[in-house]
Amino acid sequence: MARALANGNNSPTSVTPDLARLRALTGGSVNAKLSLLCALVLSAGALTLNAQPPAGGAPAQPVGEGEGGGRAPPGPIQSDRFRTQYLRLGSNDAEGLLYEPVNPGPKARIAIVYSFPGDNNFDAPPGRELANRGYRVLMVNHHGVDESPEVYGPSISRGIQYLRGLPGVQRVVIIGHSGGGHLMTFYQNVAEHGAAACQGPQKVYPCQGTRLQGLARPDGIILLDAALGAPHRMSSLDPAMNDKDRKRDPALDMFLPANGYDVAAKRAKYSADFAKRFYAAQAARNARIVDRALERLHAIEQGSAQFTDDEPFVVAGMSDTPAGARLYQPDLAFAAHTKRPHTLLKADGSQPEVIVASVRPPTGMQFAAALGTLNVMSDNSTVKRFLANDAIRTGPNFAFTADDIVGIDWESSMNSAPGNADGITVPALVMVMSCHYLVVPGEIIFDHLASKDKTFAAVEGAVHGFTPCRPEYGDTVKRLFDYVDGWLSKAGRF
Amino acid sequence: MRKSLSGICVRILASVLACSALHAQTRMAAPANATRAYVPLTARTKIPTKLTFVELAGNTNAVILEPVTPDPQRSRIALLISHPEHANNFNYFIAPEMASRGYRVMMVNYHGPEVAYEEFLTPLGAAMKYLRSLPGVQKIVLTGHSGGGAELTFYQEIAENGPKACQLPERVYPCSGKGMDNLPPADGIMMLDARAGVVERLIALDPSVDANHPRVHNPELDMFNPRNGYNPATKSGTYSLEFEHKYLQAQSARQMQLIEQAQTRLAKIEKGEGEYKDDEPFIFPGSSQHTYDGAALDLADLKLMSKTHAPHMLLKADGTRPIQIVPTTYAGLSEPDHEDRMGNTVQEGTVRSFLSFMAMRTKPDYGITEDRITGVEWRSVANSLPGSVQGIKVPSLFMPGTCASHVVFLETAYDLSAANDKEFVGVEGGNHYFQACKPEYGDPAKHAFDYVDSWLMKPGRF
Repeated sequence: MARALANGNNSPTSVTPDLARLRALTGGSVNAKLSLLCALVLSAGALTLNAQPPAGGAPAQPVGEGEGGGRAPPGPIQSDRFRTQYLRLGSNDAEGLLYEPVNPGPKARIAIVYSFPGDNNFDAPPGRELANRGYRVLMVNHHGVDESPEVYGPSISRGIQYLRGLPGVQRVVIIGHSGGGHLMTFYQNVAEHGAAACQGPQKVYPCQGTRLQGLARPDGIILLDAALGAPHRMSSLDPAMNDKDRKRDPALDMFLPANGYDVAAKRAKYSADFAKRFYAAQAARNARIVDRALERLHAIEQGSAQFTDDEPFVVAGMSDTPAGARLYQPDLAFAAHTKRPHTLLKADGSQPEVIVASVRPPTGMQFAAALGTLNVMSDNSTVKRFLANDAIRTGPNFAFTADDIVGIDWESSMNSAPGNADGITVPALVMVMSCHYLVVPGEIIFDHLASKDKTFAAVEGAVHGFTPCRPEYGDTVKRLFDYVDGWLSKAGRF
Repeated sequence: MRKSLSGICVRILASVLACSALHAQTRMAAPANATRAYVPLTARTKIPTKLTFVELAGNTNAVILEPVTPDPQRSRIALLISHPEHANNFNYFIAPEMASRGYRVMMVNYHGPEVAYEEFLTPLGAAMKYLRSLPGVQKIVLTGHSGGGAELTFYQEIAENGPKACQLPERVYPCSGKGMDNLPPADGIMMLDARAGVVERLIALDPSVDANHPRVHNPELDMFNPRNGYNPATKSGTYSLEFEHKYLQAQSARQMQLIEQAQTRLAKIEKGEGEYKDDEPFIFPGSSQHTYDGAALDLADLKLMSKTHAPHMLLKADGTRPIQIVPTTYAGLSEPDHEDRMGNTVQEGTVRSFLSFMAMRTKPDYGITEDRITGVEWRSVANSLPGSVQGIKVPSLFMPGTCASHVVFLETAYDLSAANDKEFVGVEGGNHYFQACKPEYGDPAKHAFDYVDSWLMKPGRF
């Protein structure tokens, strides 16, 4: 994820430097955007629109963010405990980097597959962290257009099959982080139940299923600060945006001081009235946009549209990155804590069972300056890609609360982590980073899991990219992966 | 931008890399074993080789294929391969050929957004720096194939001349110039059936399509209309001079109109009067790659762009190397593209990405003949091999396969090249991947890569 920041100084700079940097972070094309999905989350604390892009050379690493210790100098990925090997997985679109312990011990019988909706996953932290702890880890990239979660299925499946063919490998567990969380829940659900799991009348846009036949079944699943998928995209819709005249309604504008937005304090405090109005309007706009996409799909299928296969679909005031209009970014009253007590991995090594509070700082203030941009504050998609990735049904009571997200039909999108969790029965570990806003979404996914053996734990003070948001939170990366290690190696589980 | 490019070129590239010898331009039917199992790169070399994954920067990775035992003469020369459009370049067919002959070959994947052509410079600079840091590497030769040709020559042009080379007065969309100083230049370039850049989209831009109704064509300008000379049975055409002239004039006019539209919209965006503050979607139908299914006259009428205008070396199937006019050897396989399919022909880009990647201007004498293309402002856009070589002085090799459609383009680049030490060599019967397009052409890849080896090894060159 920190890798995304390295794009900063390659950006086209004929736009303002600030927007150029943001655009490089968010990407101009769908797959690139996805591969950079959490860049803005990670950088939200440090990146502002007024910050100058780094001059030449290496881009600045946001303080307290990144992936556990910064980037290594150019060269092979290796350590004294693991080596890596480049693999092609059956087609030029699918490739892997296999991390293997130099001296395989008993844990090497468990192999891990990591993937993410993008084509640049080889150095994501779970590779080195779990290989250093004795596991084999295969990082899977899929090259191609991000038409739907379906496109990644064959690549992940080939990765699992490859590992099952390695001598000594007895179990294969998949792991997803951020956008990889909703991808892996999709994969697991479909691997367990076939394409029927992403079809049916409840789905706004059922999967095609042709690429989902006979996917290799993992033995377990680990989700690290998983994003929700379509619900996450939906929650970026700016309800102030009028789709007809492109004007923004001040009564619904979360970036107006009159509504509770405090530029100087870099946070917001929205009134209950405003929040109610905002969420109702967000749900209503979502319903209109989903319906519009379905109308366009119908026109395409009937042959009355401009093209016969698909057509452009651009939603102004929406984001497939962490940008957009999200009350829970500047106002910490939303998605503030879990509903029930869970294991909290504290800096002092204790693991109490407590209500887990999100200790994140307010974020998202930079998006106010990006209002009206195509690359940051719009979803530049196509009808089919929008329907497959972003479209989900919400009801009039849709809202983020302090400990929940209500009024959303989790089963209505194939790209919904809670919807897919309903079908998952293998042992599952859900971990959230308490210095980010995915604590409550993580608990929702956890509650939906059908697994008998399921575990939820939070890493106190870790940001989305696993590092601590303040020094007092200690070595969050170590606590996280030590816990994953303990869960994987627990006697009788795998 | 990315979707359509990937959708056409990259997928073709990917499938061919997988099955080694199939491309639309080969004018061959797909072999039955087109999807046969992948053979790892290291198993495709004739000597023991190793493959090393290298992380270069957050958005750039590479693999290096090299002999396990370094070749005493050749290990000092490293080749650098890349290709845009988010292709996976780690299985490039050139690598096992050249590693077998003793060279180190680096293949670079860049994972950035590709909304501005200049994005490629920093990643390639990082690759160059890493290669230079390897013990024993003394020379680096950029090795461009397909879309990698324009990308790598753009890099070399800027590395040799600095950012002023992409801020020329004729440039439609000048580069920012930032981060472009001190890019390490390579010591040579090889263009191995490289595409010429966006001119190959210009030549396939359909002037007959109604921009608002892509299924509606102006029959007067439709090159697939039998009344204009097209024969669907042979997938080829014989066009009158009058039609050719009319068609090319209309193609040129449509291109200039697109540029003007994009510039007008950019001016509005910059004044704060655009649909969005930063950029806008810019979508137009009827734009294909210059492969088998675009609206390119030369792919249908085989007399057009069918030979070089000057004699050059031709690597013939029988092993001889005469100096002669190099003829193309492909058969007609021209079909109307599915212009009603967004994924096929629409440039799903933005105003800025169009201007950066595709805004190549034409001149009033725009046209093609049997052995030339004229009237193109080669340096009006970054994505232009014949434009970039005008700023490249290092030894340069231009080597098309005669069974692909880049012969005349690469001769144009050869003519415009600023290098003192430059060569143009045709590979008889080689398709885009130097595979034989008919059995009688034997093993063009062997002829091609043996020649590349001898070119690299010529005393005094590197």
